[in-house]
Amino acid sequence: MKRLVLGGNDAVAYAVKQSHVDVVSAYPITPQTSIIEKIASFIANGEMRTRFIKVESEHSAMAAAIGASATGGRVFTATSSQGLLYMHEVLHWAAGASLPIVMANANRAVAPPWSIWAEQTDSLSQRDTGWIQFYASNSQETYDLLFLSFRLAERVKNPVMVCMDGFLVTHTKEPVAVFGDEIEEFISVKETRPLLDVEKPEAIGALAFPQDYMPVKIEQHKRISSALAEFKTLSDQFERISSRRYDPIYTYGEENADIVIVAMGSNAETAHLAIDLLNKEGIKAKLVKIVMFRPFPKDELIKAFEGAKKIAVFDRNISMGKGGITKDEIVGALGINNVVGIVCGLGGVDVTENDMVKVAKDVLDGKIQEDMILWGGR
Amino acid sequence: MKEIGLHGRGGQGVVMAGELLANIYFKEGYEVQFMPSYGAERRGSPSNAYVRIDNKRILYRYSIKAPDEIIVLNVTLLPNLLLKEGGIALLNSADTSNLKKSDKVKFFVVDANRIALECKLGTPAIPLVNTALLGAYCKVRGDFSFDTLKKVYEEKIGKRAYLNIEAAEKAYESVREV
Repeated sequence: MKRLVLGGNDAVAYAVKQSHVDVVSAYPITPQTSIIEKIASFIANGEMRTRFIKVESEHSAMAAAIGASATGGRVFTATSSQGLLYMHEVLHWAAGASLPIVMANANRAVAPPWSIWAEQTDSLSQRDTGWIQFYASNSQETYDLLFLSFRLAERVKNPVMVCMDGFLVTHTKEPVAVFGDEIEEFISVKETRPLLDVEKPEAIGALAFPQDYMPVKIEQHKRISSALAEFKTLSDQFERISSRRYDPIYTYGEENADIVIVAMGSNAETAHLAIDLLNKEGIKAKLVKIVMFRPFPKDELIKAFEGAKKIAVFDRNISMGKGGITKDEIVGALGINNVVGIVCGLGGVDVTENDMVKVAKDVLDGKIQEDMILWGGR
Repeated sequence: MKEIGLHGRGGQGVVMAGELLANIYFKEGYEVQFMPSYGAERRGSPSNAYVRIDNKRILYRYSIKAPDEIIVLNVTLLPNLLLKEGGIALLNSADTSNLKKSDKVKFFVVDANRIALECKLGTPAIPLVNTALLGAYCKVRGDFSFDTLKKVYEEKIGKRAYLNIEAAEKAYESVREV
Protein backbone atom coordinates (compact mmCIF):
# COMPACT_ATOMS: atom_id res chain seq x y z
CA MET A 1 0.00 0.00 0.00
CA LYS A 2 1.43 3.38 -0.98
CA ARG A 3 0.26 6.87 -0.04
CA LEU A 4 -0.66 9.44 -2.68
CA VAL A 5 -1.90 13.02 -2.31
CA LEU A 6 -5.47 12.77 -3.61
CA GLY A 7 -8.72 14.69 -3.46
CA GLY A 8 -12.00 12.88 -2.79
CA ASN A 9 -12.77 12.89 -6.51
CA ASP A 10 -9.35 11.44 -7.40
CA ALA A 11 -9.79 8.79 -4.72
CA VAL A 12 -13.18 7.79 -6.13
CA ALA A 13 -11.73 7.49 -9.65
CA TYR A 14 -8.84 5.31 -8.37
CA ALA A 15 -11.28 3.07 -6.49
CA VAL A 16 -13.50 2.70 -9.56
CA LYS A 17 -10.42 1.82 -11.62
CA GLN A 18 -9.51 -0.94 -9.14
CA SER A 19 -13.08 -2.28 -8.87
CA HIS A 20 -13.36 -3.92 -12.31
CA VAL A 21 -16.30 -1.74 -13.29
CA ASP A 22 -17.90 -2.77 -16.58
CA VAL A 23 -19.87 0.36 -17.39
CA VAL A 24 -19.70 4.03 -16.42
CA SER A 25 -22.47 6.29 -17.68
CA ALA A 26 -22.27 9.87 -16.53
CA TYR A 27 -22.89 13.51 -17.26
CA PRO A 28 -20.55 16.24 -15.98
CA ILE A 29 -21.47 18.69 -13.21
CA THR A 30 -19.32 20.71 -10.81
CA PRO A 31 -17.88 19.62 -8.36
CA GLN A 32 -18.16 16.02 -9.54
CA THR A 33 -16.71 16.42 -13.03
CA SER A 34 -13.12 15.56 -12.18
CA ILE A 35 -14.24 12.03 -11.17
CA ILE A 36 -15.51 11.15 -14.61
CA GLU A 37 -12.72 13.11 -16.34
CA LYS A 38 -10.17 10.98 -14.52
CA ILE A 39 -12.09 7.77 -15.30
CA ALA A 40 -12.32 8.81 -18.97
CA SER A 41 -8.55 9.36 -19.05
CA PHE A 42 -7.90 5.97 -17.38
CA ILE A 43 -10.02 4.36 -20.12
CA ALA A 44 -8.28 6.37 -22.86
CA ASN A 45 -4.86 5.31 -21.52
CA GLY A 46 -5.90 1.68 -21.51
CA GLU A 47 -5.61 1.49 -17.69
CA MET A 48 -9.30 0.54 -17.40
CA ARG A 49 -11.31 -1.88 -19.50
CA THR A 50 -14.63 -0.16 -19.04
CA ARG A 51 -17.37 1.02 -21.38
CA PHE A 52 -17.96 4.76 -20.88
CA ILE A 53 -21.43 5.82 -22.01
CA LYS A 54 -21.74 9.53 -22.71
CA VAL A 55 -25.27 10.75 -22.18
CA GLU A 56 -27.16 14.01 -22.60
CA SER A 57 -28.48 14.27 -19.03
CA GLU A 58 -28.35 12.76 -15.55
CA HIS A 59 -31.78 11.21 -16.08
CA SER A 60 -30.30 9.29 -19.01
CA ALA A 61 -27.09 8.53 -17.07
CA MET A 62 -29.11 6.62 -14.49
CA ALA A 63 -31.34 5.03 -17.15
CA ALA A 64 -28.22 3.69 -18.92
CA ALA A 65 -26.82 2.52 -15.58
CA ILE A 66 -30.07 0.64 -14.92
CA GLY A 67 -29.89 -1.14 -18.28
CA ALA A 68 -26.25 -2.08 -17.85
CA SER A 69 -26.78 -3.27 -14.28
CA ALA A 70 -29.91 -5.29 -15.12
CA THR A 71 -27.90 -7.29 -17.66
CA GLY A 72 -25.18 -8.12 -15.13
CA GLY A 73 -22.62 -5.32 -15.34
CA ARG A 74 -20.88 -3.69 -12.41
CA VAL A 75 -21.90 -0.09 -12.94
CA PHE A 76 -20.75 3.27 -11.61
CA THR A 77 -21.94 6.82 -12.09
CA ALA A 78 -21.37 10.16 -10.38
CA THR A 79 -23.34 13.36 -10.06
CA SER A 80 -24.11 16.33 -7.85
CA SER A 81 -26.91 18.61 -6.74
CA GLN A 82 -29.08 19.68 -9.70
CA GLY A 83 -27.94 16.58 -11.58
CA LEU A 84 -28.97 14.31 -8.73
CA LEU A 85 -32.33 16.05 -8.51
CA TYR A 86 -32.84 15.57 -12.24
CA MET A 87 -32.21 11.83 -11.65
CA HIS A 88 -34.77 11.60 -8.87
CA GLU A 89 -37.45 9.53 -10.59
CA VAL A 90 -34.93 7.03 -11.98
CA LEU A 91 -33.32 6.59 -8.54
CA HIS A 92 -36.56 4.93 -7.40
CA TRP A 93 -36.49 2.65 -10.44
CA ALA A 94 -32.90 1.55 -9.76
CA ALA A 95 -33.65 0.71 -6.12
CA GLY A 96 -37.02 -0.87 -6.89
CA ALA A 97 -35.39 -3.16 -9.45
CA SER A 98 -32.74 -4.28 -6.85
CA LEU A 99 -29.87 -3.10 -9.01
CA PRO A 100 -26.44 -2.83 -7.34
CA ILE A 101 -25.42 0.46 -8.98
CA VAL A 102 -22.84 2.55 -7.13
CA MET A 103 -22.94 6.32 -7.44
CA ALA A 104 -20.74 9.06 -6.02
CA ASN A 105 -22.51 12.30 -5.19
CA ALA A 106 -20.62 15.53 -4.62
CA ASN A 107 -22.78 17.31 -2.08
CA ARG A 108 -23.51 20.76 -3.47
CA ALA A 109 -26.11 23.34 -2.49
CA VAL A 110 -29.32 23.42 -4.47
CA ALA A 111 -30.36 26.49 -6.50
CA PRO A 112 -31.69 29.13 -6.34
CA PRO A 113 -29.57 31.07 -5.70
CA TRP A 114 -27.05 29.24 -7.87
CA SER A 115 -24.22 27.73 -5.83
CA ILE A 116 -21.47 25.19 -6.44
CA TRP A 117 -20.39 24.81 -2.79
CA ALA A 118 -20.92 22.22 -0.10
CA GLU A 119 -24.32 21.31 1.32
CA GLN A 120 -26.04 17.97 1.82
CA THR A 121 -29.63 18.91 1.06
CA ASP A 122 -29.28 17.43 -2.45
CA SER A 123 -28.65 13.83 -1.37
CA LEU A 124 -30.69 14.02 1.84
CA SER A 125 -33.70 14.96 -0.27
CA GLN A 126 -33.19 11.56 -1.99
CA ARG A 127 -33.59 9.88 1.41
CA ASP A 128 -36.71 7.95 0.45
CA THR A 129 -35.58 6.67 -2.96
CA GLY A 130 -34.45 3.35 -1.47
CA TRP A 131 -30.71 3.94 -1.96
CA ILE A 132 -28.18 3.04 0.71
CA GLN A 133 -26.36 6.27 1.60
CA PHE A 134 -22.85 6.76 2.95
CA TYR A 135 -21.27 10.11 3.85
CA ALA A 136 -17.47 10.30 3.60
CA SER A 137 -15.52 12.90 5.58
CA ASN A 138 -12.18 12.74 3.79
CA SER A 139 -10.41 11.34 0.75
CA GLN A 140 -9.44 8.08 2.45
CA GLU A 141 -13.05 7.38 3.35
CA THR A 142 -14.31 8.07 -0.17
CA TYR A 143 -11.72 5.63 -1.49
CA ASP A 144 -12.46 2.87 1.02
CA LEU A 145 -16.24 3.30 0.99
CA LEU A 146 -16.29 2.85 -2.80
CA PHE A 147 -14.91 -0.69 -2.49
CA LEU A 148 -17.26 -1.47 0.36
CA SER A 149 -20.16 -0.02 -1.64
CA PHE A 150 -19.67 -2.27 -4.66
CA ARG A 151 -19.58 -5.33 -2.42
CA LEU A 152 -22.49 -4.17 -0.26
CA ALA A 153 -24.64 -3.24 -3.27
CA GLU A 154 -24.12 -6.66 -4.81
CA ARG A 155 -24.57 -8.52 -1.52
CA VAL A 156 -27.83 -6.75 -0.62
CA LYS A 157 -28.97 -6.20 -4.24
CA ASN A 158 -29.55 -2.53 -3.66
CA PRO A 159 -27.94 0.61 -5.10
CA VAL A 160 -25.51 2.64 -2.98
CA MET A 161 -24.74 6.36 -3.00
CA VAL A 162 -21.43 7.60 -1.57
CA CYS A 163 -21.75 11.28 -0.70
CA MET A 164 -18.94 13.76 -0.04
CA ASP A 165 -19.05 17.50 0.54
CA GLY A 166 -18.26 19.51 -2.57
CA PHE A 167 -14.73 20.98 -2.58
CA LEU A 168 -14.25 20.35 1.16
CA VAL A 169 -13.87 16.65 0.35
CA THR A 170 -14.03 16.36 -3.45
CA HIS A 171 -11.19 18.80 -4.18
CA THR A 172 -9.25 18.89 -0.92
CA LYS A 173 -6.13 16.82 -1.52
CA GLU A 174 -4.42 14.89 1.25
CA PRO A 175 -2.46 11.66 1.69
CA VAL A 176 -4.50 8.54 0.89
CA ALA A 177 -3.33 4.96 1.32
CA VAL A 178 -3.93 3.33 -2.06
CA PHE A 179 -4.13 -0.46 -2.47
CA GLY A 180 -2.01 -2.57 -4.73
CA ASP A 181 -3.12 -6.09 -5.60
CA GLU A 182 -4.11 -6.86 -1.99
CA ILE A 183 -7.63 -5.46 -2.63
CA GLU A 184 -8.21 -8.07 -5.38
CA GLU A 185 -9.47 -10.84 -3.08
CA PHE A 186 -12.07 -8.44 -1.65
CA ILE A 187 -13.22 -6.58 -4.76
CA SER A 188 -13.16 -9.42 -7.28
CA VAL A 189 -15.98 -11.28 -5.49
CA LYS A 190 -19.22 -11.06 -7.44
CA GLU A 191 -22.56 -12.31 -6.18
CA THR A 192 -25.06 -14.08 -8.41
CA ARG A 193 -28.32 -12.25 -8.94
CA PRO A 194 -31.29 -12.47 -11.31
CA LEU A 195 -30.42 -10.84 -14.65
CA LEU A 196 -32.27 -9.80 -17.76
CA ASP A 197 -31.76 -12.44 -20.39
CA VAL A 198 -32.94 -12.11 -23.98
CA GLU A 199 -33.33 -15.91 -24.17
CA LYS A 200 -35.76 -15.88 -21.26
CA PRO A 201 -37.61 -12.55 -21.47
CA GLU A 202 -39.10 -11.14 -18.25
CA ALA A 203 -40.70 -7.82 -17.38
CA ILE A 204 -39.50 -5.64 -14.49
CA GLY A 205 -41.72 -3.04 -12.91
CA ALA A 206 -45.01 -4.07 -14.49
CA LEU A 207 -48.31 -2.83 -13.06
CA ALA A 208 -49.03 -4.18 -9.57
CA PHE A 209 -52.49 -3.97 -8.06
CA PRO A 210 -52.69 -2.82 -4.42
CA GLN A 211 -52.47 -6.26 -2.80
CA ASP A 212 -49.38 -7.05 -4.92
CA TYR A 213 -47.69 -3.67 -4.68
CA MET A 214 -47.43 -3.47 -0.91
CA PRO A 215 -45.61 -6.80 -0.37
CA VAL A 216 -43.06 -5.82 -3.02
CA LYS A 217 -42.32 -2.54 -1.28
CA ILE A 218 -42.12 -4.13 2.18
CA GLU A 219 -39.73 -6.69 0.74
CA GLN A 220 -37.62 -3.79 -0.60
CA HIS A 221 -37.68 -2.13 2.83
CA LYS A 222 -36.43 -5.36 4.46
CA ARG A 223 -33.76 -5.72 1.80
CA ILE A 224 -32.21 -2.28 2.33
CA SER A 225 -32.58 -2.65 6.10
CA SER A 226 -30.43 -5.79 5.97
CA ALA A 227 -27.54 -3.61 4.75
CA LEU A 228 -26.66 -2.65 8.35
CA ALA A 229 -25.71 -6.21 9.28
CA GLU A 230 -24.18 -7.02 5.89
CA PHE A 231 -22.03 -3.89 6.05
CA LYS A 232 -20.51 -5.09 9.32
CA THR A 233 -19.63 -8.46 7.77
CA LEU A 234 -18.00 -6.86 4.73
CA SER A 235 -16.29 -4.31 6.96
CA ASP A 236 -14.64 -7.15 8.91
CA GLN A 237 -13.22 -8.54 5.67
CA PHE A 238 -12.12 -5.09 4.51
CA GLU A 239 -10.42 -4.41 7.83
CA ARG A 240 -8.32 -7.57 7.52
CA ILE A 241 -6.90 -6.25 4.24
CA SER A 242 -6.65 -2.54 5.00
CA SER A 243 -6.38 -2.30 8.81
CA ARG A 244 -9.04 0.40 8.53
CA ARG A 245 -12.40 -0.10 10.21
CA TYR A 246 -15.74 1.22 8.97
CA ASP A 247 -18.99 1.08 10.90
CA PRO A 248 -22.40 2.73 10.38
CA ILE A 249 -21.32 5.33 12.94
CA TYR A 250 -17.89 6.45 14.11
CA THR A 251 -17.12 7.86 17.54
CA TYR A 252 -14.22 9.87 18.94
CA GLY A 253 -13.51 11.32 22.38
CA GLU A 254 -14.67 10.55 25.91
CA GLU A 255 -16.58 7.26 26.19
CA ASN A 256 -18.99 8.60 28.85
CA ALA A 257 -19.51 12.07 27.48
CA ASP A 258 -21.83 14.74 28.87
CA ILE A 259 -22.06 16.50 25.53
CA VAL A 260 -22.18 14.71 22.19
CA ILE A 261 -21.50 16.49 18.92
CA VAL A 262 -23.14 14.78 15.94
CA ALA A 263 -21.83 15.56 12.46
CA MET A 264 -21.82 14.03 9.01
CA GLY A 265 -19.41 14.63 6.13
CA SER A 266 -16.65 17.24 6.25
CA ASN A 267 -17.95 18.85 9.46
CA ALA A 268 -17.03 15.64 11.25
CA GLU A 269 -13.33 16.22 10.47
CA THR A 270 -13.31 19.67 12.07
CA ALA A 271 -15.43 18.31 14.93
CA HIS A 272 -12.45 16.21 16.11
CA LEU A 273 -10.67 19.49 16.91
CA ALA A 274 -13.73 20.76 18.81
CA ILE A 275 -13.82 17.56 20.90
CA ASP A 276 -10.11 17.93 21.73
CA LEU A 277 -10.66 21.55 22.83
CA LEU A 278 -13.68 20.63 24.99
CA ASN A 279 -11.91 17.68 26.61
CA LYS A 280 -8.87 19.88 27.31
CA GLU A 281 -11.19 22.23 29.23
CA GLY A 282 -12.42 19.30 31.31
CA ILE A 283 -15.75 19.01 29.51
CA LYS A 284 -16.49 15.39 28.71
CA ALA A 285 -17.27 15.46 25.01
CA LYS A 286 -17.64 12.94 22.23
CA LEU A 287 -18.09 13.06 18.46
CA VAL A 288 -20.62 10.80 16.81
CA LYS A 289 -20.22 10.78 13.05
CA ILE A 290 -22.97 9.30 10.91
CA VAL A 291 -21.25 7.28 8.18
CA MET A 292 -24.28 5.31 6.99
CA PHE A 293 -27.44 7.38 6.79
CA ARG A 294 -29.63 4.82 5.00
CA PRO A 295 -30.45 2.36 6.38
CA PHE A 296 -30.49 4.48 9.53
CA PRO A 297 -28.18 3.18 12.31
CA LYS A 298 -30.73 3.55 15.13
CA ASP A 299 -29.35 0.91 17.53
CA GLU A 300 -25.77 2.14 17.12
CA LEU A 301 -26.88 5.69 17.93
CA ILE A 302 -28.86 4.60 21.02
CA LYS A 303 -25.68 2.98 22.33
CA ALA A 304 -23.47 5.94 21.45
CA PHE A 305 -25.77 8.42 23.21
CA GLU A 306 -26.01 6.40 26.43
CA GLY A 307 -25.46 8.63 29.44
CA ALA A 308 -25.14 11.84 27.41
CA LYS A 309 -26.70 14.90 29.01
CA LYS A 310 -27.04 16.85 25.76
CA ILE A 311 -26.64 16.18 22.07
CA ALA A 312 -25.78 18.92 19.56
CA VAL A 313 -26.43 17.92 15.95
CA PHE A 314 -24.64 20.01 13.30
CA ASP A 315 -26.47 19.81 9.98
CA ARG A 316 -24.99 21.19 6.77
CA ASN A 317 -28.43 20.80 5.22
CA ILE A 318 -31.95 22.03 5.77
CA SER A 319 -35.49 20.79 5.37
CA MET A 320 -37.50 23.94 4.72
CA GLY A 321 -40.11 24.44 7.40
CA LYS A 322 -38.46 21.89 9.73
CA GLY A 323 -34.70 22.39 10.12
CA GLY A 324 -31.64 20.15 10.16
CA ILE A 325 -32.37 16.78 8.60
CA THR A 326 -30.12 14.43 10.60
CA LYS A 327 -31.32 16.07 13.83
CA ASP A 328 -34.86 15.30 12.80
CA GLU A 329 -33.96 11.72 11.90
CA ILE A 330 -32.29 11.17 15.28
CA VAL A 331 -35.20 12.55 17.27
CA GLY A 332 -37.66 10.62 15.12
CA ALA A 333 -35.85 7.31 15.42
CA LEU A 334 -34.78 7.52 19.06
CA GLY A 335 -37.62 9.56 20.57
CA ILE A 336 -35.23 11.55 22.77
CA ASN A 337 -35.65 15.16 23.83
CA ASN A 338 -32.14 16.26 24.86
CA VAL A 339 -31.18 17.11 21.28
CA VAL A 340 -30.52 20.55 19.80
CA GLY A 341 -30.28 20.94 16.03
CA ILE A 342 -27.84 23.41 14.53
CA VAL A 343 -28.22 24.31 10.86
CA CYS A 344 -24.85 25.50 9.61
CA GLY A 345 -22.53 25.78 6.62
CA LEU A 346 -25.22 26.07 3.95
CA GLY A 347 -23.83 26.78 0.49
CA GLY A 348 -20.26 26.17 1.67
CA VAL A 349 -20.08 28.59 4.62
CA ASP A 350 -17.15 27.75 6.92
CA VAL A 351 -17.86 25.85 10.13
CA THR A 352 -14.92 26.00 12.51
CA GLU A 353 -13.99 24.11 15.67
CA ASN A 354 -14.41 27.35 17.63
CA ASP A 355 -17.99 27.68 16.35
CA MET A 356 -18.67 24.12 17.47
CA VAL A 357 -17.06 24.50 20.89
CA LYS A 358 -19.07 27.63 21.69
CA VAL A 359 -22.37 26.07 20.63
CA ALA A 360 -21.64 22.76 22.38
CA LYS A 361 -20.89 24.55 25.68
CA ASP A 362 -24.08 26.62 25.46
CA VAL A 363 -26.12 23.52 24.66
CA LEU A 364 -24.62 21.67 27.64
CA ASP A 365 -25.23 24.63 29.98
CA GLY A 366 -28.82 24.93 28.79
CA LYS A 367 -28.22 28.42 27.34
CA ILE A 368 -29.28 27.03 23.97
CA GLN A 369 -32.39 24.86 24.20
CA GLU A 370 -34.07 25.49 20.87
CA ASP A 371 -32.85 24.54 17.39
CA MET A 372 -30.69 27.29 15.99
CA ILE A 373 -28.96 28.69 12.94
CA LEU A 374 -25.17 28.98 13.16
CA TRP A 375 -24.10 31.71 10.80
CA GLY A 376 -20.46 30.66 11.05
CA GLY A 377 -17.35 32.37 9.80
CA ARG A 378 -14.99 33.15 12.65
CA MET B 1 0.92 23.77 11.54
CA LYS B 2 1.84 26.09 8.72
CA GLU B 3 -0.66 27.61 6.28
CA ILE B 4 0.47 28.90 2.89
CA GLY B 5 -1.67 30.95 0.50
CA LEU B 6 -1.00 31.04 -3.24
CA HIS B 7 -2.61 33.95 -5.03
CA GLY B 8 -2.65 34.79 -8.69
CA ARG B 9 -4.90 35.15 -11.67
CA GLY B 10 -6.54 32.40 -13.72
CA GLY B 11 -4.00 31.02 -16.21
CA GLN B 12 -0.88 31.64 -14.11
CA GLY B 13 -0.92 28.15 -12.63
CA VAL B 14 -2.03 28.89 -9.06
CA VAL B 15 -3.84 25.59 -8.51
CA MET B 16 -0.95 23.62 -10.04
CA ALA B 17 1.51 25.48 -7.78
CA GLY B 18 -0.50 24.52 -4.70
CA GLU B 19 -0.65 20.89 -5.72
CA LEU B 20 3.08 20.80 -6.46
CA LEU B 21 3.88 22.43 -3.13
CA ALA B 22 1.67 19.97 -1.22
CA ASN B 23 3.42 17.08 -2.96
CA ILE B 24 6.88 18.53 -2.19
CA TYR B 25 6.13 18.71 1.55
CA PHE B 26 4.48 15.28 1.44
CA LYS B 27 7.64 13.82 -0.09
CA GLU B 28 9.58 15.47 2.72
CA GLY B 29 7.52 13.46 5.21
CA TYR B 30 4.88 15.99 6.27
CA GLU B 31 1.12 15.55 6.44
CA VAL B 32 -0.36 17.93 3.89
CA GLN B 33 -3.69 19.31 2.80
CA PHE B 34 -4.21 21.16 -0.47
CA MET B 35 -7.37 23.24 -0.65
CA PRO B 36 -8.02 25.15 -3.86
CA SER B 37 -10.59 27.90 -3.63
CA TYR B 38 -13.05 27.67 -6.51
CA GLY B 39 -15.31 30.35 -7.86
CA ALA B 40 -15.89 31.52 -11.39
CA GLU B 41 -13.00 29.95 -13.28
CA ARG B 42 -11.72 32.09 -16.11
CA ARG B 43 -8.46 33.56 -17.35
CA GLY B 44 -7.51 36.71 -15.55
CA SER B 45 -9.84 36.44 -12.56
CA PRO B 46 -8.32 36.10 -9.08
CA SER B 47 -7.42 32.50 -8.24
CA ASN B 48 -6.41 31.25 -4.80
CA ALA B 49 -5.10 27.98 -3.45
CA TYR B 50 -4.03 27.00 0.05
CA VAL B 51 -1.71 24.41 1.53
CA ARG B 52 -1.67 23.26 5.15
CA ILE B 53 1.40 21.43 6.47
CA ASP B 54 1.72 19.65 9.79
CA ASN B 55 3.43 16.77 11.55
CA LYS B 56 0.07 15.15 12.33
CA ARG B 57 -3.13 14.43 10.41
CA ILE B 58 -4.84 17.64 9.29
CA LEU B 59 -8.49 17.87 10.31
CA TYR B 60 -9.40 21.47 9.47
CA ARG B 61 -12.14 21.48 6.84
CA TYR B 62 -12.66 25.16 6.22
CA SER B 63 -11.01 27.90 4.25
CA ILE B 64 -7.88 29.78 5.27
CA LYS B 65 -8.40 33.51 5.69
CA ALA B 66 -4.97 34.71 6.89
CA PRO B 67 -2.13 32.30 6.07
CA ASP B 68 1.32 32.29 7.71
CA GLU B 69 2.94 32.85 4.35
CA ILE B 70 1.76 33.97 0.94
CA ILE B 71 3.15 33.39 -2.53
CA VAL B 72 1.80 36.09 -4.81
CA LEU B 73 1.89 35.34 -8.52
CA ASN B 74 0.31 38.66 -9.44
CA VAL B 75 1.09 41.69 -7.24
CA THR B 76 -2.03 43.62 -8.30
CA LEU B 77 -3.84 41.31 -5.86
CA LEU B 78 -1.65 42.30 -2.90
CA PRO B 79 -3.97 45.00 -1.44
CA ASN B 80 -6.73 42.37 -1.00
CA LEU B 81 -4.63 39.71 0.67
CA LEU B 82 -4.44 38.88 4.36
CA LEU B 83 -1.39 37.51 6.12
CA LYS B 84 -0.66 36.67 9.76
CA GLU B 85 1.52 39.05 11.70
CA GLY B 86 5.15 37.98 11.43
CA GLY B 87 4.37 36.31 8.13
CA ILE B 88 6.28 36.06 4.90
CA ALA B 89 5.16 37.39 1.51
CA LEU B 90 6.97 36.20 -1.60
CA LEU B 91 6.08 38.40 -4.54
CA ASN B 92 6.49 38.02 -8.28
CA SER B 93 7.88 41.49 -8.93
CA ALA B 94 10.82 43.24 -10.60
CA ASP B 95 10.02 46.55 -8.98
CA THR B 96 10.15 47.11 -5.22
CA SER B 97 9.71 50.89 -5.22
CA ASN B 98 6.08 50.66 -4.08
CA LEU B 99 6.80 48.25 -1.23
CA LYS B 100 7.07 49.79 2.20
CA LYS B 101 9.29 47.98 4.66
CA SER B 102 7.23 46.58 7.49
CA ASP B 103 8.00 45.27 10.98
CA LYS B 104 5.04 42.95 10.71
CA VAL B 105 5.72 41.21 7.40
CA LYS B 106 8.86 40.10 5.61
CA PHE B 107 8.77 40.76 1.87
CA PHE B 108 10.77 38.80 -0.68
CA VAL B 109 10.74 39.48 -4.41
CA VAL B 110 11.73 37.61 -7.53
CA ASP B 111 11.18 38.60 -11.17
CA ALA B 112 9.34 35.40 -12.07
CA ASN B 113 7.75 36.89 -15.22
CA ARG B 114 11.17 37.41 -16.78
CA ILE B 115 12.43 34.01 -15.64
CA ALA B 116 9.34 32.18 -16.95
CA LEU B 117 9.67 33.79 -20.38
CA GLU B 118 13.41 33.04 -20.49
CA CYS B 119 12.48 29.40 -19.86
CA LYS B 120 9.73 29.44 -22.52
CA LEU B 121 6.95 29.02 -19.95
CA GLY B 122 3.71 30.73 -20.95
CA THR B 123 3.28 33.79 -23.15
CA PRO B 124 4.27 37.46 -22.60
CA ALA B 125 0.58 38.15 -21.81
CA ILE B 126 0.39 35.35 -19.21
CA PRO B 127 3.80 33.95 -18.22
CA LEU B 128 3.54 30.66 -16.32
CA VAL B 129 5.30 31.77 -13.17
CA ASN B 130 4.16 29.09 -10.73
CA THR B 131 7.14 26.74 -10.90
CA ALA B 132 9.71 29.56 -10.75
CA LEU B 133 8.08 30.98 -7.62
CA LEU B 134 8.26 27.63 -5.82
CA GLY B 135 12.01 27.63 -6.51
CA ALA B 136 12.26 31.04 -4.85
CA TYR B 137 10.07 29.83 -1.99
CA CYS B 138 12.44 26.90 -1.43
CA LYS B 139 15.29 29.39 -0.93
CA VAL B 140 13.26 31.75 1.30
CA ARG B 141 11.93 29.04 3.62
CA GLY B 142 14.60 26.40 3.38
CA ASP B 143 12.34 23.77 4.98
CA PHE B 144 12.41 21.46 1.97
CA SER B 145 15.26 20.53 -0.31
CA PHE B 146 15.57 21.72 -3.90
CA ASP B 147 16.18 18.11 -4.83
CA THR B 148 12.69 17.15 -3.60
CA LEU B 149 11.23 19.98 -5.68
CA LYS B 150 13.04 18.62 -8.75
CA LYS B 151 11.73 15.10 -8.15
CA VAL B 152 8.13 16.30 -7.76
CA TYR B 153 8.38 18.42 -10.93
CA GLU B 154 9.68 15.41 -12.84
CA GLU B 155 6.85 13.21 -11.57
CA LYS B 156 4.03 15.69 -12.02
CA ILE B 157 4.99 17.80 -15.04
CA GLY B 158 6.45 15.23 -17.41
CA LYS B 159 8.26 16.20 -20.61
CA ARG B 160 8.59 19.92 -19.91
CA ALA B 161 9.76 19.42 -16.34
CA TYR B 162 13.33 20.44 -17.22
CA LEU B 163 12.20 23.95 -18.24
CA ASN B 164 10.32 24.33 -14.97
CA ILE B 165 13.32 23.09 -12.99
CA GLU B 166 15.50 25.61 -14.83
CA ALA B 167 13.02 28.38 -13.94
CA ALA B 168 12.98 27.25 -10.30
CA GLU B 169 16.81 27.28 -10.19
CA LYS B 170 16.97 30.81 -11.62
CA ALA B 171 14.38 32.01 -9.10
CA TYR B 172 16.21 30.23 -6.27
CA GLU B 173 19.39 32.14 -7.18
CA SER B 174 17.81 35.56 -7.71
CA VAL B 175 15.16 35.89 -4.97
CA ARG B 176 15.96 38.65 -2.45
CA GLU B 177 14.56 40.20 0.69
CA VAL B 178 13.17 43.72 0.41
